[in-house]
Amino acid sequence: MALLEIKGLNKSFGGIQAVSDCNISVEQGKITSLIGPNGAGKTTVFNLVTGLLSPDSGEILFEGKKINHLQPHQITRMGISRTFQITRDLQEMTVLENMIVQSQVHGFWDMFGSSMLKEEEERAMDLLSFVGITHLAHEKSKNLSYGQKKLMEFASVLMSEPKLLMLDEPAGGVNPTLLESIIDRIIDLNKKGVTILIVEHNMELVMKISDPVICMAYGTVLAQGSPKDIQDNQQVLEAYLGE
Amino acid sequence: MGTLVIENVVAGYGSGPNILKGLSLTVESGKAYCIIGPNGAGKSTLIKVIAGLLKPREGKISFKGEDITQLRADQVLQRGLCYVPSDRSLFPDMTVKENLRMGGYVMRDSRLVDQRIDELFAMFPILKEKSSQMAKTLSGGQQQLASIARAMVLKPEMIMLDEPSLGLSPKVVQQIFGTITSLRDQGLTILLVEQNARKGLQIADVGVVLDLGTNSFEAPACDVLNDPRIQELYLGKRHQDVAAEECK
Repeated sequence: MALLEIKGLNKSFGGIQAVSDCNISVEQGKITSLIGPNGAGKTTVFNLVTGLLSPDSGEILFEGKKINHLQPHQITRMGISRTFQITRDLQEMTVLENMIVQSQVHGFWDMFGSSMLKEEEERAMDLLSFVGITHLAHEKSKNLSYGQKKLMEFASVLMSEPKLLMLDEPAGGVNPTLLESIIDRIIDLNKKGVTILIVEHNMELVMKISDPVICMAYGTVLAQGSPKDIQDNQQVLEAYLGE
Repeated sequence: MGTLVIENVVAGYGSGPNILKGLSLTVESGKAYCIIGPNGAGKSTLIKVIAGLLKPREGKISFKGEDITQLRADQVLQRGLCYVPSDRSLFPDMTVKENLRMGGYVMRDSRLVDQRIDELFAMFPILKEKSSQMAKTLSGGQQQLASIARAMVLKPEMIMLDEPSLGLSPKVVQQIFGTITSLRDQGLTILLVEQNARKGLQIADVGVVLDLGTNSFEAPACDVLNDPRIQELYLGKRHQDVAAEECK
């Protein structure tokens, strides 16, 4: 069954058609990757699904319900979480605080209450330890390096328990050895039933963990199939993979 | 003889902890260096210290025998050391040509700037084609080229690139690494920071591992690529079987 279904989606910015009659179906329980050249519309699709942009036309269905015109927080509450290619952190807050605001149960406004709950803090510290940045828990996030912010963001989306996790370039700027443990974590989450949609240029990651792979170009789907099909697809080779 | 000599540099931000903890490195003229290491090791900080964007707390940096430790960023540029930041930092609402002109901001002779831009257009035809378009309308790969070209306006002797492959598609990454290789072949000294570590090492002469704020290993790039410990700690151990044949 399709957990997320995108039908005939269109979005233009000024004269540029960023997404053009795009149809994508993300199956429940799978890890689906979205690849394609820079400017193909991948991040725009993410922004449309998460409500940061509204489509010019077309439909977006999550668990069969139309979510086109919902606000981002309503979409998050339905069970969709995402990370950003360029991280969006709360610069003046500490890493730990950045983690806690992502927690679905208590959320942002409880930050001003008595204190963060002990179990939330423990969970946050566990996740920080997993990505290897526990020592930065009390550092303001503006002091983190690019790669460290990516790790913090990856850890923080795991604070809520999404049904669909959308990752925008999780491998970008992350050390290869650490990336392998992130890959393991993604596979773990998936085994626990979380459906995952990844935008990524790191082909090792894409080909290793996802099936199907969808290749976009010019705002629409160019090809879709197993990693092997995609690697052998002449159009994908020309538009994207090279060689 | 080293062109750029970094001696016992200690650096950090604001009142925060030391990120670089006594780092020493000698960069020889005309070679390509690739710096790898975990997130937060201090790779970008090192580049910022060299570029004059962050003053070190201790230590000395000299370029061609001159002490440049206390120079401002614009003075470092004038000595022939250029920096291509990882976020590209183009001026989005300026045209490609205007962005390149900004690269020559510290040059006094504007005719020379225009002449340099023409030379760069010959080197990067795609930028000539897009010269009157706003930088924000370029694709990611074109923006990276524009950012490299902007640094090249000053005809630097050494270029420092912070993760040039970030966010680019595989085909474009190949093109960017091809461009970097051709810059090196023209005699430029290259200091490259890359998390795409294996690709970076493949085009470099020397590999440097930076960890915990210090230079923990330095060797010919090919040896770094094939060192089993380095593979496990920094390159992702599951790929050790593929590294052997890929050296430069």
